[in-house]
Amino acid sequence: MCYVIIGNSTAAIGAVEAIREKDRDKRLIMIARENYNAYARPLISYYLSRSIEEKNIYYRPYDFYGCHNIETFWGQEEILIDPEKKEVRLKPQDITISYEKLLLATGGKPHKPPFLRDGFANVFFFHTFDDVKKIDSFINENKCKEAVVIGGGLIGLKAAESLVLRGLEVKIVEAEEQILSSILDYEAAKLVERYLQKRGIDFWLSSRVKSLAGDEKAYKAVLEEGEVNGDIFVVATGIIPNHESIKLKGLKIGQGIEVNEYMETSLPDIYAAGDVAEAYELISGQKRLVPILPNAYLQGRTAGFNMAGEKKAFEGSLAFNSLPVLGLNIVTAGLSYETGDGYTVIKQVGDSFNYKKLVFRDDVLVGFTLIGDISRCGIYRHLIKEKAVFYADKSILLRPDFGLLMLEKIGVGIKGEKFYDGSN
Amino acid sequence: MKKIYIRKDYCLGCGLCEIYCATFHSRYPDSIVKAYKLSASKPVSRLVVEKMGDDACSVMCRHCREPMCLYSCIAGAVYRTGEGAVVVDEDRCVGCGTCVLACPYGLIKKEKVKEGGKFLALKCDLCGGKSELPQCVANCPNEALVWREEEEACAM
Repeated sequence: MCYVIIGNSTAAIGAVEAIREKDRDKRLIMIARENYNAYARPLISYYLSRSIEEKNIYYRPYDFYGCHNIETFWGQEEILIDPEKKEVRLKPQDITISYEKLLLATGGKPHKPPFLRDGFANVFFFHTFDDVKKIDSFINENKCKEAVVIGGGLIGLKAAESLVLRGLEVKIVEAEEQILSSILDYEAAKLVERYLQKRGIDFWLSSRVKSLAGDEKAYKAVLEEGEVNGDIFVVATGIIPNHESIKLKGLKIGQGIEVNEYMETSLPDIYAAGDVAEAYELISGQKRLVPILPNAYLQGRTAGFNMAGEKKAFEGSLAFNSLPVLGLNIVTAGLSYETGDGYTVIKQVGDSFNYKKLVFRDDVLVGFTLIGDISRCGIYRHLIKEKAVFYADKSILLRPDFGLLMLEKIGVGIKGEKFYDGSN
Repeated sequence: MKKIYIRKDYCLGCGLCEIYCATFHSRYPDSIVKAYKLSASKPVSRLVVEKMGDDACSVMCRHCREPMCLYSCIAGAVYRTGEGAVVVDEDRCVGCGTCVLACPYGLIKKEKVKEGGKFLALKCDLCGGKSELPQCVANCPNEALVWREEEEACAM
Protein backbone atom coordinates (compact mmCIF):
# COMPACT_ATOMS: atom_id res chain seq x y z
CA MET A 1 0.00 0.00 0.00
CA CYS A 2 1.49 3.29 -0.94
CA TYR A 3 1.24 6.73 -2.44
CA VAL A 4 1.35 6.75 -6.22
CA ILE A 5 1.98 9.90 -8.20
CA ILE A 6 1.58 10.03 -11.96
CA GLY A 7 3.74 12.95 -13.02
CA ASN A 8 7.18 14.26 -12.22
CA SER A 9 7.05 18.00 -12.65
CA THR A 10 6.17 20.89 -10.37
CA ALA A 11 2.86 19.67 -8.93
CA ALA A 12 4.24 16.18 -8.36
CA ILE A 13 7.29 17.55 -6.52
CA GLY A 14 5.05 19.83 -4.44
CA ALA A 15 3.04 16.78 -3.43
CA VAL A 16 6.12 14.70 -2.65
CA GLU A 17 7.60 17.38 -0.41
CA ALA A 18 4.33 17.73 1.51
CA ILE A 19 3.81 13.98 1.86
CA ARG A 20 7.34 13.46 3.14
CA GLU A 21 6.94 16.32 5.64
CA LYS A 22 4.11 14.29 7.20
CA ASP A 23 5.10 10.71 6.42
CA ARG A 24 8.71 9.69 5.94
CA ASP A 25 8.01 5.97 5.79
CA LYS A 26 5.16 4.87 3.60
CA ARG A 27 6.16 3.75 0.11
CA LEU A 28 5.98 6.55 -2.45
CA ILE A 29 6.06 5.74 -6.15
CA MET A 30 6.40 8.25 -8.98
CA ILE A 31 5.52 7.31 -12.55
CA ALA A 32 6.19 9.63 -15.49
CA ARG A 33 6.32 9.71 -19.27
CA GLU A 34 9.52 11.73 -19.70
CA ASN A 35 12.86 10.13 -19.07
CA TYR A 36 14.40 12.82 -16.90
CA ASN A 37 14.54 13.68 -13.24
CA ALA A 38 12.19 16.59 -12.57
CA TYR A 39 13.36 19.54 -14.59
CA ALA A 40 12.25 23.15 -14.51
CA ARG A 41 10.09 23.33 -17.63
CA PRO A 42 10.21 27.14 -17.95
CA LEU A 43 14.00 26.89 -18.14
CA ILE A 44 13.99 25.15 -21.52
CA SER A 45 14.24 28.52 -23.27
CA TYR A 46 17.26 29.42 -21.10
CA TYR A 47 18.89 26.14 -22.16
CA LEU A 48 18.26 26.88 -25.84
CA SER A 49 19.72 30.38 -25.52
CA ARG A 50 22.73 28.84 -23.72
CA SER A 51 22.03 30.94 -20.63
CA ILE A 52 22.13 27.74 -18.58
CA GLU A 53 23.82 24.35 -18.90
CA GLU A 54 22.01 21.02 -18.73
CA LYS A 55 23.04 20.43 -15.13
CA ASN A 56 21.17 23.57 -14.04
CA ILE A 57 17.86 22.70 -15.67
CA TYR A 58 16.93 20.26 -12.92
CA TYR A 59 14.25 21.44 -10.53
CA ARG A 60 15.66 19.65 -7.47
CA PRO A 61 19.09 18.22 -6.55
CA TYR A 62 20.19 14.95 -8.12
CA ASP A 63 19.77 13.03 -4.86
CA PHE A 64 16.21 14.29 -4.33
CA TYR A 65 14.55 10.94 -5.04
CA GLY A 66 16.96 8.97 -2.86
CA CYS A 67 16.73 11.44 0.03
CA HIS A 68 12.94 11.40 -0.08
CA ASN A 69 12.74 7.63 -0.33
CA ILE A 70 10.93 7.52 -3.68
CA GLU A 71 10.70 4.68 -6.20
CA THR A 72 10.69 5.99 -9.73
CA PHE A 73 9.41 4.68 -13.04
CA TRP A 74 10.39 7.02 -15.86
CA GLY A 75 9.73 6.64 -19.59
CA GLN A 76 6.25 5.18 -19.05
CA GLU A 77 4.13 5.71 -22.14
CA GLU A 78 1.16 3.56 -21.16
CA ILE A 79 -0.37 3.67 -17.70
CA LEU A 80 -3.67 1.98 -16.90
CA ILE A 81 -5.65 2.97 -13.82
CA ASP A 82 -8.29 0.78 -12.18
CA PRO A 83 -10.10 2.93 -9.59
CA GLU A 84 -12.20 -0.01 -8.33
CA LYS A 85 -9.24 -2.27 -7.55
CA LYS A 86 -7.16 0.82 -6.71
CA GLU A 87 -4.39 -0.36 -8.99
CA VAL A 88 -2.08 1.22 -11.52
CA ARG A 89 -0.68 -0.98 -14.25
CA LEU A 90 2.42 -0.20 -16.27
CA LYS A 91 2.48 -1.72 -19.74
CA PRO A 92 4.59 -3.20 -21.22
CA GLN A 93 6.55 -4.27 -18.13
CA ASP A 94 3.21 -5.53 -16.84
CA ILE A 95 3.85 -4.18 -13.35
CA THR A 96 0.81 -3.69 -11.13
CA ILE A 97 0.95 -1.27 -8.21
CA SER A 98 -1.74 -1.01 -5.54
CA TYR A 99 -2.28 2.51 -4.33
CA GLU A 100 -3.77 3.91 -1.17
CA LYS A 101 -3.82 7.41 -2.59
CA LEU A 102 -3.23 8.35 -6.22
CA LEU A 103 -2.27 11.77 -7.57
CA LEU A 104 -2.78 12.72 -11.21
CA ALA A 105 -0.22 15.42 -11.98
CA THR A 106 0.17 14.88 -15.70
CA GLY A 107 0.42 18.54 -16.61
CA GLY A 108 -0.27 19.89 -20.05
CA LYS A 109 0.72 19.20 -23.62
CA PRO A 110 1.06 21.41 -26.69
CA HIS A 111 -2.10 22.32 -28.55
CA LYS A 112 -1.87 20.99 -32.12
CA PRO A 113 -3.26 23.64 -34.45
CA PRO A 114 -5.31 22.39 -37.44
CA PHE A 115 -2.76 23.54 -40.04
CA LEU A 116 -0.04 21.32 -38.59
CA ARG A 117 0.84 18.11 -40.39
CA ASP A 118 3.55 15.61 -39.47
CA GLY A 119 6.74 15.08 -41.40
CA PHE A 120 8.49 18.44 -41.38
CA ALA A 121 12.04 18.15 -40.07
CA ASN A 122 12.18 21.84 -39.16
CA VAL A 123 8.90 22.34 -37.29
CA PHE A 124 9.02 22.00 -33.52
CA PHE A 125 6.91 22.35 -30.40
CA PHE A 126 8.35 24.24 -27.41
CA HIS A 127 7.27 22.18 -24.44
CA THR A 128 9.82 19.58 -23.37
CA PHE A 129 13.55 19.45 -22.78
CA ASP A 130 13.76 17.07 -25.76
CA ASP A 131 11.97 19.66 -27.93
CA VAL A 132 14.68 22.27 -27.30
CA LYS A 133 17.46 19.72 -27.68
CA LYS A 134 16.05 18.94 -31.14
CA ILE A 135 15.81 22.65 -31.98
CA ASP A 136 19.38 23.16 -30.76
CA SER A 137 20.70 20.30 -32.95
CA PHE A 138 18.76 21.54 -35.95
CA ILE A 139 20.10 25.07 -35.61
CA ASN A 140 23.66 23.77 -35.22
CA GLU A 141 23.43 21.42 -38.22
CA ASN A 142 21.56 23.73 -40.58
CA LYS A 143 22.93 27.17 -39.66
CA CYS A 144 19.39 28.56 -39.52
CA LYS A 145 18.91 32.26 -40.08
CA GLU A 146 15.18 32.97 -39.99
CA ALA A 147 12.91 31.58 -37.30
CA VAL A 148 9.13 31.79 -37.40
CA VAL A 149 7.36 31.44 -34.05
CA ILE A 150 3.67 30.72 -34.46
CA GLY A 151 1.92 32.02 -31.35
CA GLY A 152 2.52 35.29 -29.52
CA GLY A 153 1.67 34.12 -26.01
CA LEU A 154 3.94 33.55 -23.03
CA ILE A 155 5.62 30.47 -24.48
CA GLY A 156 5.94 31.99 -27.97
CA LEU A 157 7.66 35.05 -26.51
CA LYS A 158 10.19 33.04 -24.50
CA ALA A 159 10.85 30.82 -27.51
CA ALA A 160 11.38 33.92 -29.65
CA GLU A 161 13.70 35.42 -27.05
CA SER A 162 15.88 32.31 -26.96
CA LEU A 163 16.12 32.25 -30.77
CA VAL A 164 17.11 35.94 -30.88
CA LEU A 165 19.82 35.18 -28.33
CA ARG A 166 21.04 32.39 -30.64
CA GLY A 167 21.49 34.97 -33.37
CA LEU A 168 18.49 34.20 -35.56
CA GLU A 169 16.09 36.71 -37.09
CA VAL A 170 12.77 36.04 -35.47
CA LYS A 171 9.24 36.63 -36.71
CA ILE A 172 6.26 36.10 -34.43
CA VAL A 173 2.96 35.21 -36.12
CA GLU A 174 -0.06 35.85 -33.90
CA ALA A 175 -3.77 35.43 -34.70
CA GLU A 176 -4.94 38.22 -32.37
CA GLU A 177 -4.26 41.91 -32.99
CA GLN A 178 -1.79 41.96 -30.09
CA ILE A 179 0.66 39.65 -28.37
CA LEU A 180 0.13 38.29 -24.83
CA SER A 181 -3.66 38.72 -24.95
CA SER A 182 -4.11 36.44 -21.94
CA ILE A 183 -2.25 38.84 -19.64
CA LEU A 184 -1.91 42.30 -21.24
CA ASP A 185 -4.36 44.91 -22.41
CA TYR A 186 -3.92 46.39 -25.88
CA GLU A 187 -1.91 49.44 -24.77
CA ALA A 188 0.55 47.41 -22.69
CA ALA A 189 0.93 44.85 -25.48
CA LYS A 190 1.77 47.58 -27.99
CA LEU A 191 4.42 48.93 -25.62
CA VAL A 192 6.03 45.48 -25.40
CA GLU A 193 5.80 45.01 -29.16
CA ARG A 194 7.57 48.35 -29.72
CA TYR A 195 10.34 47.34 -27.32
CA LEU A 196 10.80 43.95 -29.00
CA GLN A 197 10.72 45.45 -32.50
CA LYS A 198 13.69 47.59 -31.46
CA ARG A 199 15.47 44.39 -30.57
CA GLY A 200 14.87 42.79 -33.92
CA ILE A 201 11.65 40.81 -33.58
CA ASP A 202 9.13 41.26 -36.43
CA PHE A 203 5.44 40.86 -35.69
CA TRP A 204 2.74 39.51 -37.96
CA LEU A 205 -0.42 40.26 -35.99
CA SER A 206 -4.04 39.44 -36.83
CA SER A 207 -2.43 36.66 -38.87
CA ARG A 208 -3.83 33.16 -38.85
CA VAL A 209 -1.71 30.38 -40.35
CA LYS A 210 -3.56 28.32 -42.99
CA SER A 211 -0.76 25.87 -43.79
CA LEU A 212 2.96 25.29 -43.89
CA ALA A 213 4.46 24.88 -47.35
CA GLY A 214 7.34 22.55 -48.09
CA ASP A 215 8.37 18.93 -48.47
CA GLU A 216 10.77 17.57 -45.87
CA LYS A 217 11.29 21.06 -44.58
CA ALA A 218 8.76 23.86 -44.35
CA TYR A 219 9.95 27.04 -46.04
CA LYS A 220 6.99 29.30 -45.44
CA ALA A 221 3.85 29.70 -43.38
CA VAL A 222 0.88 30.51 -45.59
CA LEU A 223 -1.42 32.95 -43.82
CA GLU A 224 -5.04 33.84 -44.53
CA GLU A 225 -3.51 36.98 -46.00
CA GLY A 226 0.12 36.80 -46.97
CA GLU A 227 2.97 34.48 -46.13
CA VAL A 228 6.04 34.34 -43.88
CA ASN A 229 9.31 32.69 -44.86
CA GLY A 230 11.54 30.82 -42.49
CA ASP A 231 14.03 28.01 -42.20
CA ILE A 232 12.88 26.88 -38.76
CA PHE A 233 9.39 26.97 -37.28
CA VAL A 234 8.28 26.80 -33.65
CA VAL A 235 4.62 26.11 -32.90
CA ALA A 236 3.50 27.68 -29.62
CA THR A 237 -0.25 28.00 -29.97
CA GLY A 238 -1.12 27.02 -26.43
CA ILE A 239 -1.05 24.25 -23.86
CA ILE A 240 -3.99 21.96 -23.12
CA PRO A 241 -4.35 19.78 -20.01
CA ASN A 242 -3.01 16.29 -20.44
CA HIS A 243 -5.92 14.08 -19.40
CA GLU A 244 -6.94 12.55 -22.72
CA SER A 245 -5.21 9.31 -21.87
CA ILE A 246 -6.86 9.18 -18.45
CA LYS A 247 -10.30 7.96 -19.40
CA LEU A 248 -11.78 6.81 -16.13
CA LYS A 249 -15.47 6.15 -15.63
CA GLY A 250 -16.77 8.62 -13.14
CA LEU A 251 -13.82 11.02 -13.33
CA LYS A 252 -15.35 14.46 -13.69
CA ILE A 253 -13.47 16.46 -16.29
CA GLY A 254 -14.32 20.01 -17.35
CA GLN A 255 -11.47 21.68 -19.16
CA GLY A 256 -9.19 19.96 -16.68
CA ILE A 257 -9.70 17.29 -14.06
CA GLU A 258 -12.11 18.84 -11.55
CA VAL A 259 -11.03 18.93 -7.94
CA ASN A 260 -12.56 20.22 -4.72
CA GLU A 261 -10.76 22.38 -2.15
CA TYR A 262 -8.84 19.31 -0.92
CA MET A 263 -7.62 18.55 -4.46
CA GLU A 264 -9.88 15.44 -4.48
CA THR A 265 -11.31 14.36 -7.82
CA SER A 266 -14.75 12.82 -8.19
CA LEU A 267 -13.21 9.36 -7.68
CA PRO A 268 -12.33 8.22 -4.15
CA ASP A 269 -8.67 8.42 -3.13
CA ILE A 270 -7.72 10.00 -6.46
CA TYR A 271 -6.36 13.57 -6.41
CA ALA A 272 -5.27 15.93 -9.14
CA ALA A 273 -2.99 18.95 -9.13
CA GLY A 274 -1.13 21.30 -11.45
CA ASP A 275 -1.69 22.16 -15.10
CA VAL A 276 -4.08 19.22 -15.54
CA ALA A 277 -6.39 20.25 -12.70
CA GLU A 278 -9.34 22.60 -12.49
CA ALA A 279 -9.46 23.97 -8.95
CA TYR A 280 -11.06 26.96 -7.26
CA GLU A 281 -9.70 30.21 -8.62
CA LEU A 282 -9.33 33.00 -6.10
CA ILE A 283 -10.96 35.94 -7.87
CA SER A 284 -13.91 34.24 -9.55
CA GLY A 285 -14.50 31.55 -6.94
CA GLN A 286 -15.09 29.23 -9.89
CA LYS A 287 -13.15 26.09 -10.85
CA ARG A 288 -10.63 27.15 -13.48
CA LEU A 289 -7.43 25.99 -15.12
CA VAL A 290 -4.64 28.30 -13.96
CA PRO A 291 -1.60 26.65 -15.50
CA ILE A 292 1.29 28.57 -13.96
CA LEU A 293 4.20 27.02 -12.09
CA PRO A 294 3.69 28.50 -8.60
CA ASN A 295 0.07 27.42 -8.69
CA ALA A 296 1.06 23.90 -9.68
CA TYR A 297 3.45 23.72 -6.74
CA LEU A 298 0.86 24.99 -4.26
CA GLN A 299 -1.82 22.63 -5.59
CA GLY A 300 0.61 19.74 -5.39
CA ARG A 301 1.52 20.70 -1.85
CA THR A 302 -2.14 20.87 -0.84
CA ALA A 303 -2.83 17.51 -2.48
CA GLY A 304 0.16 15.99 -0.71
CA PHE A 305 -0.98 17.07 2.75
CA ASN A 306 -4.47 15.74 2.11
CA MET A 307 -3.10 12.45 0.77
CA ALA A 308 -0.99 12.07 3.92
CA GLY A 309 -4.03 12.54 6.11
CA GLU A 310 -3.84 16.23 7.00
CA LYS A 311 -6.94 18.01 5.76
CA LYS A 312 -5.88 21.28 4.17
CA ALA A 313 -8.03 23.51 2.01
CA PHE A 314 -6.48 25.04 -1.08
CA GLU A 315 -6.34 28.83 -0.80
CA GLY A 316 -7.40 29.28 -4.45
CA SER A 317 -5.40 29.72 -7.63
CA LEU A 318 -4.24 33.17 -8.62
CA ALA A 319 -2.75 33.75 -12.04
CA PHE A 320 0.56 35.61 -11.89
CA ASN A 321 3.50 35.77 -14.25
CA SER A 322 6.89 37.38 -14.40
CA LEU A 323 7.92 37.41 -18.02
CA PRO A 324 11.23 39.10 -18.72
CA VAL A 325 11.83 39.30 -22.47
CA LEU A 326 15.13 40.53 -23.88
CA GLY A 327 15.69 42.75 -20.87
CA LEU A 328 12.15 44.11 -20.41
CA ASN A 329 10.43 43.14 -17.15
CA ILE A 330 6.76 42.29 -17.50
CA VAL A 331 4.86 41.34 -14.37
CA THR A 332 1.13 40.60 -14.20
CA ALA A 333 -1.36 39.14 -11.76
CA GLY A 334 -5.10 38.50 -11.63
CA LEU A 335 -7.26 40.33 -14.15
CA SER A 336 -4.28 42.20 -15.56
CA TYR A 337 -5.83 42.58 -19.03
CA GLU A 338 -9.00 44.42 -17.91
CA THR A 339 -9.28 48.05 -18.97
CA GLY A 340 -12.59 49.45 -17.75
CA ASP A 341 -16.29 48.60 -18.11
CA GLY A 342 -17.09 47.55 -14.60
CA TYR A 343 -13.54 48.00 -13.38
CA THR A 344 -11.70 51.00 -11.96
CA VAL A 345 -8.29 51.34 -13.50
CA ILE A 346 -5.41 53.56 -12.41
CA LYS A 347 -2.46 53.84 -14.70
CA GLN A 348 0.94 55.45 -14.80
CA VAL A 349 2.86 55.50 -18.06
CA GLY A 350 6.45 56.57 -17.57
CA ASP A 351 9.22 57.01 -20.10
CA SER A 352 11.49 54.22 -21.28
CA PHE A 353 8.83 51.50 -21.36
CA ASN A 354 7.65 51.97 -17.78
CA TYR A 355 4.00 51.13 -17.33
CA LYS A 356 1.97 50.55 -14.19
CA LYS A 357 -1.70 49.64 -14.07
CA LEU A 358 -3.87 48.58 -11.14
CA VAL A 359 -7.35 47.13 -11.71
CA PHE A 360 -10.09 47.34 -9.08
CA ARG A 361 -13.58 45.90 -9.00
CA ASP A 362 -15.85 47.39 -6.36
CA ASP A 363 -12.80 48.95 -4.69
CA VAL A 364 -11.07 45.56 -4.38
CA LEU A 365 -7.74 45.10 -6.17
CA VAL A 366 -8.24 42.29 -8.70
CA GLY A 367 -5.35 42.68 -11.08
CA PHE A 368 -2.27 44.62 -12.14
CA THR A 369 0.37 44.99 -14.82
CA LEU A 370 3.85 46.40 -14.22
CA ILE A 371 6.32 46.83 -17.06
CA GLY A 372 9.90 48.06 -16.55
CA ASP A 373 10.28 48.84 -12.86
CA ILE A 374 8.79 45.92 -10.97
CA SER A 375 10.06 46.71 -7.48
CA ARG A 376 7.71 45.83 -4.58
CA CYS A 377 5.27 44.17 -7.04
CA GLY A 378 4.88 41.25 -4.65
CA ILE A 379 2.94 43.51 -2.31
CA TYR A 380 0.31 44.18 -5.01
CA ARG A 381 -0.03 40.44 -5.57
CA HIS A 382 -0.52 39.90 -1.85
CA LEU A 383 -3.18 42.63 -1.79
CA ILE A 384 -5.13 40.72 -4.45
CA LYS A 385 -4.88 37.53 -2.41
CA GLU A 386 -6.05 39.34 0.71
CA LYS A 387 -8.91 40.93 -1.29
CA ALA A 388 -7.83 44.27 0.16
CA VAL A 389 -10.35 47.07 -0.19
CA PHE A 390 -9.32 50.62 -1.14
CA TYR A 391 -12.14 53.10 -0.72
CA ALA A 392 -10.23 56.35 -0.98
CA ASP A 393 -7.77 57.79 -3.49
CA LYS A 394 -6.25 54.73 -5.14
CA SER A 395 -3.53 56.61 -7.02
CA ILE A 396 -1.33 56.74 -3.90
CA LEU A 397 -0.66 53.05 -4.52
CA LEU A 398 1.41 54.05 -7.53
CA ARG A 399 3.53 56.60 -5.69
CA PRO A 400 7.29 55.93 -5.53
CA ASP A 401 7.07 55.54 -1.74
CA PHE A 402 4.51 52.76 -2.00
CA GLY A 403 5.27 50.01 0.48
CA LEU A 404 4.37 48.45 3.79
CA LEU A 405 4.61 51.77 5.65
CA MET A 406 2.10 53.36 3.31
CA LEU A 407 -0.31 50.47 3.66
CA GLU A 408 -0.11 50.71 7.43
CA LYS A 409 -0.77 54.43 7.24
CA ILE A 410 -3.92 53.99 5.19
CA GLY A 411 -5.14 51.23 7.44
CA VAL A 412 -4.61 48.26 5.15
CA GLY A 413 -2.72 45.82 7.31
CA ILE A 414 -0.84 43.02 5.61
CA LYS A 415 -1.35 39.80 7.49
CA GLY A 416 1.44 37.32 7.74
CA GLU A 417 4.90 37.25 9.20
CA LYS A 418 5.97 39.46 12.09
CA PHE A 419 8.22 42.43 11.32
CA TYR A 420 8.36 44.54 14.43
CA ASP A 421 10.07 43.92 17.70
CA GLY A 422 7.76 44.46 20.62
CA SER A 423 4.04 44.45 20.86
CA ASN A 424 3.22 46.85 17.97
CA MET B 1 15.57 30.22 14.72
CA LYS B 2 16.80 33.78 15.17
CA LYS B 3 15.42 36.45 12.90
CA ILE B 4 15.83 40.20 12.45
CA TYR B 5 13.08 42.33 13.97
CA ILE B 6 12.67 46.03 13.60
CA ARG B 7 12.12 48.67 16.28
CA LYS B 8 10.36 51.03 13.93
CA ASP B 9 10.44 54.03 16.27
CA TYR B 10 14.24 53.92 16.29
CA CYS B 11 14.74 53.77 12.53
CA LEU B 12 15.89 57.03 10.99
CA GLY B 13 16.12 55.77 7.43
CA CYS B 14 19.82 56.66 7.44
CA GLY B 15 20.57 53.71 5.19
CA LEU B 16 23.68 52.47 6.98
CA CYS B 17 22.13 49.00 7.12
CA GLU B 18 21.97 49.04 3.33
CA ILE B 19 25.61 50.09 3.01
CA TYR B 20 26.86 47.37 5.35
CA CYS B 21 24.64 44.76 3.71
CA ALA B 22 25.74 45.71 0.21
CA THR B 23 29.40 45.75 1.25
CA PHE B 24 29.24 42.39 3.01
CA HIS B 25 27.72 40.78 -0.10
CA SER B 26 30.28 42.34 -2.45
CA ARG B 27 33.79 41.27 -3.48
CA TYR B 28 35.21 43.34 -0.63
CA PRO B 29 33.07 42.36 2.36
CA ASP B 30 35.35 44.12 4.87
CA SER B 31 35.77 47.46 3.17
CA ILE B 32 32.96 49.83 2.32
CA VAL B 33 35.27 52.06 0.29
CA LYS B 34 36.63 49.18 -1.80
CA ALA B 35 33.17 47.68 -2.24
CA TYR B 36 31.76 50.90 -3.65
CA LYS B 37 34.83 52.16 -5.52
CA LEU B 38 36.65 49.06 -6.76
CA SER B 39 34.08 46.34 -7.39
CA ALA B 40 33.29 45.49 -10.98
CA SER B 41 30.03 44.32 -9.43
CA LYS B 42 27.64 46.97 -8.22
CA PRO B 43 27.06 46.64 -4.45
CA VAL B 44 23.36 46.06 -3.86
CA SER B 45 21.75 45.66 -0.47
CA ARG B 46 19.19 42.98 0.22
CA LEU B 47 17.16 45.23 2.48
CA VAL B 48 14.56 47.83 1.63
CA VAL B 49 14.63 51.07 3.60
CA GLU B 50 11.11 52.38 3.29
CA LYS B 51 10.56 56.07 3.73
CA MET B 52 7.23 57.81 3.89
CA GLY B 53 7.11 61.40 5.01
CA ASP B 54 8.87 61.49 8.39
CA ASP B 55 8.61 57.76 8.90
CA ALA B 56 11.24 55.24 7.98
CA CYS B 57 11.60 51.52 8.36
CA SER B 58 14.26 49.10 7.23
CA VAL B 59 12.62 45.87 6.14
CA MET B 60 14.02 42.56 4.96
CA CYS B 61 13.06 38.97 4.19
CA ARG B 62 11.09 37.25 6.93
CA HIS B 63 12.44 33.77 6.13
CA CYS B 64 8.80 32.72 6.19
CA ARG B 65 7.58 29.38 7.43
CA GLU B 66 5.67 29.07 4.17
CA PRO B 67 8.02 30.85 1.76
CA MET B 68 6.16 31.88 -1.39
CA CYS B 69 9.48 32.60 -3.11
CA LEU B 70 10.59 29.00 -2.65
CA TYR B 71 7.25 27.61 -3.81
CA SER B 72 7.17 29.92 -6.85
CA CYS B 73 10.75 29.71 -8.09
CA ILE B 74 10.68 28.35 -11.62
CA ALA B 75 14.25 27.09 -11.41
CA GLY B 76 14.08 25.48 -7.99
CA ALA B 77 16.85 27.92 -7.03
CA VAL B 78 15.39 29.00 -3.69
CA TYR B 79 16.01 26.63 -0.80
CA ARG B 80 16.02 26.52 2.99
CA THR B 81 19.39 26.09 4.74
CA GLY B 82 19.94 23.82 7.71
CA GLU B 83 19.72 26.89 9.94
CA GLY B 84 16.30 27.75 8.57
CA ALA B 85 17.22 30.71 6.36
CA VAL B 86 15.52 30.91 2.94
CA VAL B 87 18.21 31.66 0.37
CA VAL B 88 18.69 32.01 -3.38
CA ASP B 89 21.30 29.83 -5.09
CA GLU B 90 22.79 32.49 -7.33
CA ASP B 91 24.30 29.87 -9.67
CA ARG B 92 20.88 28.44 -10.46
CA CYS B 93 18.88 31.68 -10.38
CA VAL B 94 18.05 32.91 -13.90
CA GLY B 95 16.71 36.27 -12.77
CA CYS B 96 13.16 35.70 -14.00
CA GLY B 97 11.57 37.78 -11.23
CA THR B 98 8.85 35.30 -10.26
CA CYS B 99 9.97 35.41 -6.62
CA VAL B 100 9.95 39.23 -6.73
CA LEU B 101 6.27 38.92 -7.63
CA ALA B 102 5.62 36.12 -5.15
CA CYS B 103 7.03 37.76 -2.00
CA PRO B 104 4.03 39.16 -0.11
CA TYR B 105 6.14 41.98 1.31
CA GLY B 106 8.01 42.90 -1.87
CA LEU B 107 11.38 42.23 -0.28
CA ILE B 108 13.22 40.58 -3.15
CA LYS B 109 15.08 42.70 -5.68
CA LYS B 110 15.95 41.81 -9.24
CA GLU B 111 19.28 43.37 -10.15
CA LYS B 112 22.15 42.94 -12.54
CA VAL B 113 25.07 42.68 -10.16
CA LYS B 114 27.86 42.19 -12.68
CA GLU B 115 28.43 44.25 -15.83
CA GLY B 116 27.37 42.05 -18.73
CA GLY B 117 26.23 39.45 -16.25
CA LYS B 118 22.83 38.00 -15.62
CA PHE B 119 20.04 39.41 -13.52
CA LEU B 120 19.70 37.83 -10.09
CA ALA B 121 17.11 37.72 -7.36
CA LEU B 122 18.64 39.35 -4.30
CA LYS B 123 17.25 38.88 -0.82
CA CYS B 124 18.40 38.79 2.77
CA ASP B 125 20.29 35.56 3.47
CA LEU B 126 21.04 36.35 7.13
CA CYS B 127 24.59 37.01 5.93
CA GLY B 128 25.01 33.36 4.93
CA GLY B 129 25.89 32.36 8.46
CA LYS B 130 29.26 34.06 7.87
CA SER B 131 28.64 36.85 10.35
CA GLU B 132 27.98 36.32 14.05
CA LEU B 133 25.36 39.02 13.92
CA PRO B 134 23.77 40.00 10.60
CA GLN B 135 25.65 43.05 9.33
CA CYS B 136 22.60 45.32 9.41
CA VAL B 137 21.88 44.47 13.05
CA ALA B 138 25.51 44.90 14.09
CA ASN B 139 25.93 48.27 12.41
CA CYS B 140 22.68 50.13 13.02
CA PRO B 141 23.71 53.24 15.00
CA ASN B 142 20.39 53.30 16.85
CA GLU B 143 19.98 49.58 17.52
CA ALA B 144 16.80 49.74 15.50
CA LEU B 145 17.35 46.19 14.30
CA VAL B 146 17.40 43.34 16.80
CA TRP B 147 18.42 39.71 16.47
CA ARG B 148 15.90 37.64 18.37
CA GLU B 149 14.57 34.10 18.62
CA GLU B 150 11.40 33.79 16.59
CA GLU B 151 9.23 32.29 19.34
CA GLU B 152 10.32 34.95 21.80
CA ALA B 153 9.56 37.71 19.31
CA CYS B 154 6.19 36.29 18.41
CA ALA B 155 5.18 36.00 22.05
CA MET B 156 5.75 39.69 22.60
